[in-house]
Amino acid sequence: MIEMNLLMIEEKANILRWFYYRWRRVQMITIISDLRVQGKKWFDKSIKTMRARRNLVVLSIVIGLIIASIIGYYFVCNDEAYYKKTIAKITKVTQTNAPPIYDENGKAEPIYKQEIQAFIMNGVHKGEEIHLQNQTSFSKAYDLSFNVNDEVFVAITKDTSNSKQVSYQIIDLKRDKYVAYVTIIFVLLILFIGGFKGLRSLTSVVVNVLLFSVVIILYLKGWNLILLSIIASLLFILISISLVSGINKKTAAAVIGTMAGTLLSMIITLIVIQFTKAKGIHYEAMEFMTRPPEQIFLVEILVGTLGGIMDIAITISSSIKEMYDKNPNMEWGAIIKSGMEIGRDIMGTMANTLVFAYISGSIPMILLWMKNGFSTSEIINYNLSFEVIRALTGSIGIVISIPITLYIAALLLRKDRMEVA
Amino acid sequence: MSVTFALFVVLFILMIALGGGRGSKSFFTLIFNLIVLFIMLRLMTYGFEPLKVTIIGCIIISSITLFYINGIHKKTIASLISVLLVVLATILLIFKMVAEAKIQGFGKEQAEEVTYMSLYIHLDFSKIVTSVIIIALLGAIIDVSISISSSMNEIFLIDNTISKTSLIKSGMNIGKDILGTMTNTLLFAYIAGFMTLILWFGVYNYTILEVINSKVFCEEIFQIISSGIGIILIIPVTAIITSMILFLKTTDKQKKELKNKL
Repeated sequence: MIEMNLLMIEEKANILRWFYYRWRRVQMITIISDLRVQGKKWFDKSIKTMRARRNLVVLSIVIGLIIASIIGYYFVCNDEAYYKKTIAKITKVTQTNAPPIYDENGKAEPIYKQEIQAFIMNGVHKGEEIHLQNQTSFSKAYDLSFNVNDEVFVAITKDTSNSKQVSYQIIDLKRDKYVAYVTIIFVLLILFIGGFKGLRSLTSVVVNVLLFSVVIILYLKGWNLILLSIIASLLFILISISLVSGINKKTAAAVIGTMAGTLLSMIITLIVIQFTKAKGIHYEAMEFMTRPPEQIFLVEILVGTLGGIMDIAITISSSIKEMYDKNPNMEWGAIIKSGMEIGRDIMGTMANTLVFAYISGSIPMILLWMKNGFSTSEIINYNLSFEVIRALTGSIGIVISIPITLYIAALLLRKDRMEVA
Repeated sequence: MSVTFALFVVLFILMIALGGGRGSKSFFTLIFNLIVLFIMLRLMTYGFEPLKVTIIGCIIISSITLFYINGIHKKTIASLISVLLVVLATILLIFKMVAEAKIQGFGKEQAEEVTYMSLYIHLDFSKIVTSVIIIALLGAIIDVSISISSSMNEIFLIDNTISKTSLIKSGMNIGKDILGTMTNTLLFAYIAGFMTLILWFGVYNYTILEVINSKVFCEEIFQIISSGIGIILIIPVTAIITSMILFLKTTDKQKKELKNKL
């Protein structure tokens, strides 16, 4: 009996102990989970404050940009004092018909004479009223037609015999105001619609433009153009892609993909140019030529393809990351297949984008040639060849970098998965 | 064989090798668009109003690009409408400014190239400049628009219960993601075209003020920035129009389904 009792007591004690432990564990768990909840609260709070801080930074940058654009606008509208050239504001325009000019087919082009009254806005003659003449045409291809309130640069020529007798001539329109207008509209729209991401794109644009100007300055100082453009391209790729998609493995895949794609498309272009002995490239027809054109044209092709290839590389590597995130055990073949599908989707419209962006610039010249009676083949060969070659090499770059980026991204990001597992 | 032709062949082979049937479609779209563009320019020289030709040309080019590659579908129709709205909005926004800034035609830097040409050709170049800007941004806005509308269509297919506002929101988010890469694509394309001009300014020691006020520079800047404005505007427009069209059609479908059930 006693033994039985003892056993029972022991059993009870065991049960009690068990309960005790159990209770302790539950308590521990509740304490831990409590801590966790508190920690999470704290974590959330800190994230919230971080977000708030980030929003504050973004907000202050946005407000700063808006204030800067208002100041800039005010400045550009009242900056006559900073110009050394004489500026005049037009107050009155009287326009009369002049004898028209006839072309080969006997079609008349109306010509107008403008008698312009204006007052000088800066310099020693400030406030003086002057009279100007101008001739303009219906086409306005090379001449300008002025309206009241236009601001123009004028040249002052003094008569040699009589120093008091001065005559004025219009040189050109003052256009800084309009550049400021469009820039301000662009900045406000990109911030208003794009938000934080818009700000990031804007930063990328500004940084790239600054980098580009540094390249031009160094080239004019006598640096080797090919070396410069290779270094600049590497920087362009690194900066643009990391600004768009942050610093991570996805970015690394896109960067390597872009570099490989650009290299391969440049090699293809060089082979084609070698193979055809540069037939059909009329370097002498290149616009604004100041330096040996062959090198410059190659660099133009290189820079022009970069943007499109980066676009492709970022799109493909992000989609592959998405796929791996959703399904880590996705098979290699399936990944490649869906990646190719995405590539096929974007290839056509991207090529289109490049073609229109390039060719549009030469439209005025094409129209002038057409109107001057040149044949279509002459125009295509002589006028369009540069733009078409740029657009084609860009498109080739886009197409060739689809599989390259695809394989690189699939390899790099798959390794990532395996390490995690 | 000229370089241009050889490059065309290389591109064609690559597109077919990679994309098969879709690749050849992409290639022929490119060729069609070039032909349409050339016909547009011819029509302008025959005295048709440049802006009207541009708008009609834009309709044809975007229809070819959208419908031939992607088929006639809710998403492509939404894209077409959005592209046209943005083209019209951009024309309204820039036409007056372009006319006032007088950036039409050729600058004194191009004097050498136009010396032997007749410049009195009965073509209003202040309208041509607007056409040039619109054509430059056309490809880009078609690209952005179809990317947004097809992603929105995907989302709508996966989640039928999604509300209109959250669909618009996700469309906007997709658009903002594309914005970054698209601005890059265009920026580098333009920088490449810009290089010789900037070198010219450097070689002939232009001051910054001279550069900013010159006709050629302003024309390029207007083109670049207007393209930027176009790709920003297309994002909300496509998001709103696509969700409107997707919801419009499904409510009809749902009604039919309800009727069938009853």
